[in-house]
Amino acid sequence: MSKVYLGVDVGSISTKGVVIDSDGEVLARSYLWTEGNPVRAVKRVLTELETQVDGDAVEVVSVGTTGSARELTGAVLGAQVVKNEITAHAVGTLSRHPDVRTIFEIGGQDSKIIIVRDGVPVDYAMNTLCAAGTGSFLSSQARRLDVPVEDFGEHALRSKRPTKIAGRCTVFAESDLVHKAQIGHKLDDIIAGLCDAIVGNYLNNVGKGKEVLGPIVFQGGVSKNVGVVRAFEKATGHEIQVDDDGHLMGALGVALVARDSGLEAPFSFGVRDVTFETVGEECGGCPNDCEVVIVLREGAYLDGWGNRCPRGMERVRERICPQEESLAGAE
Amino acid sequence: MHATVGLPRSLLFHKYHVLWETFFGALDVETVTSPQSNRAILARGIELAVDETCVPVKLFLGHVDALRDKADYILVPRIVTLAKDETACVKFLGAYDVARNSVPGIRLLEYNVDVKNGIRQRPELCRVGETFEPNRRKVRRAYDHAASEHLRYTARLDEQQEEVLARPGMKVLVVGHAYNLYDDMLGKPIVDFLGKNGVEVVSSEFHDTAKARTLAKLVSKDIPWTYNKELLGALESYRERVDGIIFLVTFPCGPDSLMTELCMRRVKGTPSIMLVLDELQSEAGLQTRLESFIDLIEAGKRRTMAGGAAR
Repeated sequence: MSKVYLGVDVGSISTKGVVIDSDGEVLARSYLWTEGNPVRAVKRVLTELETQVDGDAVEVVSVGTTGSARELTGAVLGAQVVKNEITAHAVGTLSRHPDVRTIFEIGGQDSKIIIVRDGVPVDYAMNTLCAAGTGSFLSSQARRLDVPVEDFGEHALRSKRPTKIAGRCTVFAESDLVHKAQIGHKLDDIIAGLCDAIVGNYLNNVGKGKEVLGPIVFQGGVSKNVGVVRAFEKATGHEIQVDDDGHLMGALGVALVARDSGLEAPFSFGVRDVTFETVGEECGGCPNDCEVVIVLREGAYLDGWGNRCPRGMERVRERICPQEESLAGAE
Repeated sequence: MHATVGLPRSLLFHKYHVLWETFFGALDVETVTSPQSNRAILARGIELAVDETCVPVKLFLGHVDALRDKADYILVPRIVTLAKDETACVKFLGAYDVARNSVPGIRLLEYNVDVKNGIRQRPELCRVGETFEPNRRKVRRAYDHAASEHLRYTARLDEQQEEVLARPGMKVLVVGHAYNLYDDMLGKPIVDFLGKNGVEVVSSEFHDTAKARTLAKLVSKDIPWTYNKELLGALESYRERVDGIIFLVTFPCGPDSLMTELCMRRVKGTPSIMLVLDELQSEAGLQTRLESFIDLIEAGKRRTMAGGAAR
């Protein structure tokens, strides 16, 4: 049996998983929609991954999770490593592109830039409060234009004169877009304009003040959109590399972190048949009224978070799993 | 029966509480402080405030409201200017009137500071003291005692910062106003998170105001806001002795957004991030940003060490 490592990246829109061997080679990959149910998505990812590996020849010895549902997924999978997505992406990308100096990343609700020098991340920035100019912005505009978002790139490439669209804010962009369509701009030009708006917004907002040097790698779901890739090349004057596995970099990165952590524990794909349930409840113990989330594995307490003080977890846990005894000190 | 004065635990309280508490204490006036910020206080503040105000002002109104019926008077200073060529952020000009008109059923003590127009702190606070103590000499003595306690307290804080800076290990400077840094709903979760991850936190509280003003000029000669000058002074004084800098900004603060822009261009070489806090409290996003920031600093440190060994 050779040792392999599982990395799972559960984002707001999509869930990604990889199985790598000890050399970092990807043996199995999976990419599907989260659909607002991270636990179900992870189980489906496990099913897909399991069919791609030979269960008799390999053994998953360490698991890493990342993405916005990393805590929950980490609890469900009993992960050895739970890592933030910025670090995971940097590690994953560097393993494939050791000479990269700038990483652009536009995902479903986040966009980030990571500046790398000499193979080490030295600076990064992330979008602030608002998700304008991310994948969800493109999806919502695609719905409005009645064009599948997957076809956006082709439309954009056909455009000769991209329409200028106010890309600062999703709400305003939408009214601007309707206006431009009403006064007769072509669909291709409007879509190309949207791609330009995404890039303009990204560089002025997330990339503000950062020294963008090539080689540049662009990843995240939006990197699959050739229209945005071209807009980035126009705006930066650099060639933009898009890895075929660009969407898997977070999963790959966290699998590598798990491998390098040296932490190992038995893992079974059978976890997909276990029932997990999450219960959210407001503590009510003080005016903070923390929203405590508890994860139940086959009805029993597995993990929980959201409490500002230990008492909050105890209170909610006592209410949700009253059958469990002597909780004091369990946390 | 003793009179009681309520101190809202917000805005300038975090800077001047020793001054106020000692002053009223010396006059035999009991001070009552509102509880630490919590969700109920914030919710009440949001209800009372105009929508466009910043989060600290919303919290402030929540705190004033929390003191209603808890004290005979509430102390809310109106700070206009603290030096000739400076001004305080507009919320300090307006806090008194905003509180008076937004929170029903409270009695405020009027206390103005406008140095540019000759209204100085000592006579003003003494006038407040005369509400409770007719003996003017006794009031002045109370003020002078409180002022020296305040100085002693802030000098000790500065010393403690120096001790933190002298310690080994990862140090991060958090640049933010005291009313953000020390608030349970705003800065404290961040400071606690850093602490839990083994990071020493250096705050931008810098009490040598004369030195701060001189240092601030190195960054910008014409930034007009007094408290931002102090932040700039702290930045200049500490930035080369820390491993990273976090700019803590509350939405939608005008002075801070301008100042942070200026600073982030200036601090090339030291990793820095800006965290914007709003009333929605999305802690997941904060955690991601803080964790990755710590990772980044660690990676940088490893690189420096590796580079040093290779050379």
